[in-house]
Amino acid sequence: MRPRALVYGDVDLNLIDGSAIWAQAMVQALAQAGCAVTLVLKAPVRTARLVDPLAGLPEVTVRRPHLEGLTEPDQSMSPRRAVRVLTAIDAERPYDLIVIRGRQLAHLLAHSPLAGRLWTYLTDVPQSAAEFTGARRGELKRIARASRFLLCQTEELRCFLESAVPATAGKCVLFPPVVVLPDELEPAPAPSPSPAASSAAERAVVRSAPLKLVYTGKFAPRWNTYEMTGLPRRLAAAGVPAELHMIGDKIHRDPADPGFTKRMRAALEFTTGVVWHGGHPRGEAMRLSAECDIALSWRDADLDTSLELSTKVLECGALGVPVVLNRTPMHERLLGADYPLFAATEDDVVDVLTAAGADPRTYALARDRCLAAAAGFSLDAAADRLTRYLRRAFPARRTEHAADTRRLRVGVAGHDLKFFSALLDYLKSRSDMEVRVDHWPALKVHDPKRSKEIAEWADVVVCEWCGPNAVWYAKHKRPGQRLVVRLHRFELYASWPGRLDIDAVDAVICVSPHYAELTRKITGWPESKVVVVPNWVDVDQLHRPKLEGVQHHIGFIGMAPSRKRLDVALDVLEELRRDDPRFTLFVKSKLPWDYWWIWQKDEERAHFEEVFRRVRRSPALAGAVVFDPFGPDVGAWLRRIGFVLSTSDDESFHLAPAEGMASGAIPALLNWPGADTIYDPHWIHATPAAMAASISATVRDGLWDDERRLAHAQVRDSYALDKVCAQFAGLLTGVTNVHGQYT
Amino acid sequence: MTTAKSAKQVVKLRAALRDREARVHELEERLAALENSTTMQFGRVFAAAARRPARGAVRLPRQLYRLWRRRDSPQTRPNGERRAYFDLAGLPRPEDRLLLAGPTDALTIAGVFGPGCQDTAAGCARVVSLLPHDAALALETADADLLIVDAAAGAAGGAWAYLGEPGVYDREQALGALMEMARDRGLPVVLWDETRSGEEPGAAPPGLARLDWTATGSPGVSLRRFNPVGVIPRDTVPVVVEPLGGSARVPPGVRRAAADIAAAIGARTVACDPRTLPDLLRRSAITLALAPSQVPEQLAAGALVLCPEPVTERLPADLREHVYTVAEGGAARPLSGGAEGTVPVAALAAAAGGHDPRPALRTLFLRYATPVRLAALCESLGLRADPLHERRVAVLAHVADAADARRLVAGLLAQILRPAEAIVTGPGAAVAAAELAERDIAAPGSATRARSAWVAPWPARGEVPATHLADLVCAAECSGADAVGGGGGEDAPYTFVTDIEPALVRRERYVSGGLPTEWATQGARLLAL
Repeated sequence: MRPRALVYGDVDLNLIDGSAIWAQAMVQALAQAGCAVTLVLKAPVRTARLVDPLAGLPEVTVRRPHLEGLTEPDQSMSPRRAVRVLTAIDAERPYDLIVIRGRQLAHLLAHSPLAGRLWTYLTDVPQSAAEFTGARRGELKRIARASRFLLCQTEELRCFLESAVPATAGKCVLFPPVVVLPDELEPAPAPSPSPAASSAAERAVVRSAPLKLVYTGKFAPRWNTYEMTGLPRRLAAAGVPAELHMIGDKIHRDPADPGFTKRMRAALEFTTGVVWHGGHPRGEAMRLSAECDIALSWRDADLDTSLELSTKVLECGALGVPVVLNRTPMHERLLGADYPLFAATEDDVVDVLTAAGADPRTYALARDRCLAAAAGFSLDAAADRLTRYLRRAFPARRTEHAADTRRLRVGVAGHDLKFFSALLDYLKSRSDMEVRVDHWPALKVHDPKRSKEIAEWADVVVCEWCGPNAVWYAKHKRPGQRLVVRLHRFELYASWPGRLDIDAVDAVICVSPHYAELTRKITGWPESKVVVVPNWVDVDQLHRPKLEGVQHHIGFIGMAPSRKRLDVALDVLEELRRDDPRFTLFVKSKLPWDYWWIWQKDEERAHFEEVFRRVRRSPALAGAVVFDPFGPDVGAWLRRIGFVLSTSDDESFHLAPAEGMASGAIPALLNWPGADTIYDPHWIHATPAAMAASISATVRDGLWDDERRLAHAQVRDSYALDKVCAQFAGLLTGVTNVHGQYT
Repeated sequence: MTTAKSAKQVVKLRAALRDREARVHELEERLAALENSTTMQFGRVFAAAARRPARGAVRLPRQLYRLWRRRDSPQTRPNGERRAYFDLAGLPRPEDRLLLAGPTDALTIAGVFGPGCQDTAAGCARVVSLLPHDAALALETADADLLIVDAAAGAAGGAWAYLGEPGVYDREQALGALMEMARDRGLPVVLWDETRSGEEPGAAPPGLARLDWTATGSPGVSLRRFNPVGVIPRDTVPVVVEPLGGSARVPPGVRRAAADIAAAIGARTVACDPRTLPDLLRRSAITLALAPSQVPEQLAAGALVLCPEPVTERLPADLREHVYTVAEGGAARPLSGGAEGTVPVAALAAAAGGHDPRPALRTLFLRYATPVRLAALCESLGLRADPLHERRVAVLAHVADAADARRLVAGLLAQILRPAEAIVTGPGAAVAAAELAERDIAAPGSATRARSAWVAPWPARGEVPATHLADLVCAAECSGADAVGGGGGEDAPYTFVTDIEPALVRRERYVSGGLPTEWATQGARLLAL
């Protein structure tokens, strides 16, 4: 069965602007991704140019609240009204996902029955730390809690939000602008796959005799539109005949510059070499743009910190019209740092236009880059993205159970579910399972009434941690009920496994073969009961483009207790910095004194006193160790990390290197017991010196990219969330046996 | 946050603290009451009996009877006396930093530095380097005069990597908090952009460029870091150094011109961390600059500097005099002092061998060196510190008569680095002192009473060039020498020796007396010119 999607963009589809195009693209992409889509219109239809083509698509329904009597017939819906209408439409037959755009609307819906199913597209959010007030943070927190996904336009916005509002971490996914060209326009042919192989003459693109520049959009001071009108004159002086085509009719009134409107209009009307086309519908504006050689998107430096991407830049790229734009980190990642049409000042603009006008190779390079960049923003790419998110949100759609079969009842009991949260989400999202949680307030504290209810109700009980919860459920288990216990390193050396009635337990899950073996040895439990289901890594969430220069950034996640051996990581860092002072260690962790139960131990204190003394005093480490705050924004943090260390004395799995691998970093482990049963020995080193030598050689010899690709492939193959979830679910349903074999 | 807002915040926090304290106090009282209650003691007695049943069975009845008897007796407070009233005066306050002593005359800079920048500042100021995790704590106790943020702090390979890059929230937030704290303390907040050169705009990342700075400036070049003195034989293969941030950011026109030139002169291209850049440049006889901001450091290292035409065009006029602009085809010609004419590529190595870096160093010393830039910054910000203190010279002179005195005064006033003080002896001393006083040159009377960092015996005979003091102090600043003077062999100038004829000596060293040979044995570094 197709997932049912409700789309409301808080946008007026009578006006063909960027937000209307977003709504159109979202509906098309969702339909292409396999959803049955219902689009709710904000405003009564005055022009059907956008709406009718959508209504004609298969599996797309357009709801017109104004005609259906759900709202005033002749008024656009306010966000409050929209909440009422959307809630009413959903109540008719609940939707699986509700895609919305607009912060205010999202905030209102966060308190509606639609909460939990929202896929919120965020645009009007703070874009700098200074803009984050407490109120704004709280609002976003509530929106995040009510949303299944937060759709972010760029990776920069996604990372920014995850770091600023921890509740958004794990929910932010990318949904970049979608480039949809009007029907009458064809995308430009794709660039040559190996431009280097083509001769300059082959790659040169025929341009018009005067260089035709184009700008579309509003005329405003920070958009440098007035300065642009001087370009034909300056280019002529540089020996490049040029004309500038300006498309648009909105001249901004700027209180800070009252003379701007008059000055801008005069420049548009009377400047030699400037052709003012006035306002045009989007399709016509794009047709005019396609006839020009180079588009201008050069703006005031104030706008360089934007976390959003200009759709117009991408549209021009798709038309084969290269764009002059500001050099920003985001644009560098999009077009390459050596893109030839970056400009900061008016002189720069003249320089790059002169170069592009005079040199066909430069022009061809710019055009190829823009075309290639735009290709990643097609409707197909958007549909692919949504397909992945749908698969994640509704993992068991492929195996719909028959309506008359009872769903498997799964009870989950534990005091701390942080290591189980992804599995829990997965189990909850399966249509063939029903999940209830017995959340123990503390390790030894529970509500016996609630636990009894779960014990009586569930077909399978999963105890997260082999603690008092497992002991209790083993004692109160019903005949025929399955009991599965997840055992971590922490409990193995405590007394609870000794008190567990193993005969009542169907399977004890360990995360590594080494710990499974240890468990058998220490407890004497039958081999058949102890099974390995590895920890999982959310590869899709963590896999993000690395920032420039991360090869010298070493990551260390979680420094306490002392067995994590931050001191050994310092040994490695000191070795590395002997050759190259760029190596820097970033430690993402709570500080040891933040864990009272660790800090109260004398030996732990002594260890960390010495470690921090060394960080403070060692000349080799001066300024080379940074303690980053603990938080769920690991995905954003790992963008800055090139290697992730694991120097512990002992671990049951150690997720940090696996997370690093998922992110595209290289793991470096010491040979703690069992490390080789989890990680490829390729990443395991005999000593800190050997580890440092390997890291150093990897960077020095230019192997970092190849190695990290290998690491990523390994973690995706072995520990990707979907694979581990399927293995775990198989254990619950009895599809797989305790050895992970399908029955 | 403004001071008024901060004050309100403090009042609120104090009120909240008082309230919390009262609650804690109440809870303590209730806990004490509970612990003393019969119910609690009753429970304890039973628990103890259950733990050791044999002994408990005997003692339990007696203990229960005792409890029953005391059930209505008044209980004593376990801690003896009533808790003292909570006094906020004992709490640490931000103003307590005013009590911390740390005597220094030097400018104190708290800085968010990129790789290498801290070394640049360290030569002429006390530097407190701030890290993302300790910035607030370190600034609080630093007793800083100003907060400097290096535009290159966000370069990869440093503690503040990615600062200023859009979307990197934690670094942005840490810097924001730091700047707010500095402003609350009344400290100027300055953006230091090394890529600024003359009129050329800097390349600060967007997240820094848009912030509200008290001032923006360039740190200039540290002659101490790039010290050309005492260099081993230099490599004559020309070197092209990729600018910080990568080659891609070099304008395409410059990149093309540089590639052609590099091919013509057989140059090698090197990507180099700022921390190791001085070593690289000091080992290179010839360099090719890809950006105007690279020129001062390459000149400071003593290299013969080549520039593609587009780079030279963007150089300030006084630096153009010291570089060789390479025209198409790889021929080099000096832009000024055209008597040398065109230098063919084949003769570059020979030209480098005879290259005299001193004119360029003099220009850098006077206008581009970090102390000069810092002094200008301090002046513009109204700070009391004097980053040029290490350049202050007290001249020692003997004048036989009034005419001699006037000649001395004229000679001193002609110096491009004017002395701060003059210790004049002899019959004409009074005349000299009076004339110098009118020009703000103090006459302390003796070296022990002088306050300058250096003492320079004034040459008794011959014409003294206007560059005399500047060249001496420049040599000392570059080399870190304690005394500079003649005495080295002609074939090995600018080398460290064990004996010199002192022309410039650290004042403390001079006052301590002794011969230069003794200074050397006491660890002083003597540079022969």
